[in-house]
Amino acid sequence: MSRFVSFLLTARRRWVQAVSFLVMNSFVLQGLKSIPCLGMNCYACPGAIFACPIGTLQHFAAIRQIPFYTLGVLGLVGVLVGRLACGWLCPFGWLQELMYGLRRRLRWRSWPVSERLGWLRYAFLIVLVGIVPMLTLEPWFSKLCPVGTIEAGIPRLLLDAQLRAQAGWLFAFKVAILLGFLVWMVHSKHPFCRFVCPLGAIWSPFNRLSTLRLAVDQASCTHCDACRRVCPVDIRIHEDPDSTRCIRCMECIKVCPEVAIRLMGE
Amino acid sequence: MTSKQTPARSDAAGGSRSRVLANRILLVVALLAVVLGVHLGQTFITWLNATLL
Repeated sequence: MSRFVSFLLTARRRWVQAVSFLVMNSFVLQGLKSIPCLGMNCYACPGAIFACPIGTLQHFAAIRQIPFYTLGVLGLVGVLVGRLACGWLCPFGWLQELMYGLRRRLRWRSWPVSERLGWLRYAFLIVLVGIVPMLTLEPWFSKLCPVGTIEAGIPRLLLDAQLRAQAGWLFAFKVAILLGFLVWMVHSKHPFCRFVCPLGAIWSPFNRLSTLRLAVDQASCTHCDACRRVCPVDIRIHEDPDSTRCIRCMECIKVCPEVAIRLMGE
Repeated sequence: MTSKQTPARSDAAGGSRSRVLANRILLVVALLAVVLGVHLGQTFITWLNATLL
């Protein structure tokens, strides 16, 4: 555990995210699609090697069975590390950070969004991943998912003329959703993770009881907000170290001038 | 609570203990779910590419 903790504190996260993206879409390692992907990475991507856990959950909702295996794998990860995979492995999380990095270069303004809307990700999980597929027998979250559009829909249409001929209004709608998110990503930190992601919603509650946790020494903390400025999801970790929104990126630990934030595994 | 512990520290230790207990119970439940899922053949995935367009 201590080696893992020291890795998290010293590794270059952006590189880990890049490697994660390449591995998840490495194509040559086919045959692993029985394993749920630990991040939002579309299984229909030509190079994807893992199964989308959200697609899997919708499939089981549609056939009205309990997805023990997928829930077990996600639960196992959540119990051990909380939302760590969101901050280190998720390709769509990486894209959102890269897009937000463009904000200064483009001199676009930041859009403040109320964190009160964070409950929306639970609504997406329950309604679009659970109830709607159960009633319509269609995986409606996947049909609209911007991750699927950018990683699978667009590349496959570019590669296949027959598919291009079949694309209709739904595909145009998906592209519009994707474009909307791409613009929002430049204006706001991780909008998909904070307000939409059903996978993040599954892992969020685990932050409060996972083995890997953050702790803040309140006596040392000066509330300087250095942690919030670097936080990819815009939280004040000193107010709630177990926040369900925290993606365990560890950036706050690295910038804290008082060394008041620490990572612990119990 | 020992005589040297303050009530606040005792509450924190109690909270930590219950959190660790919940963590361990959920760990076992998740492992059992994985085993049950594998036993039921839920790792065989057949619906790929169904949602492309």
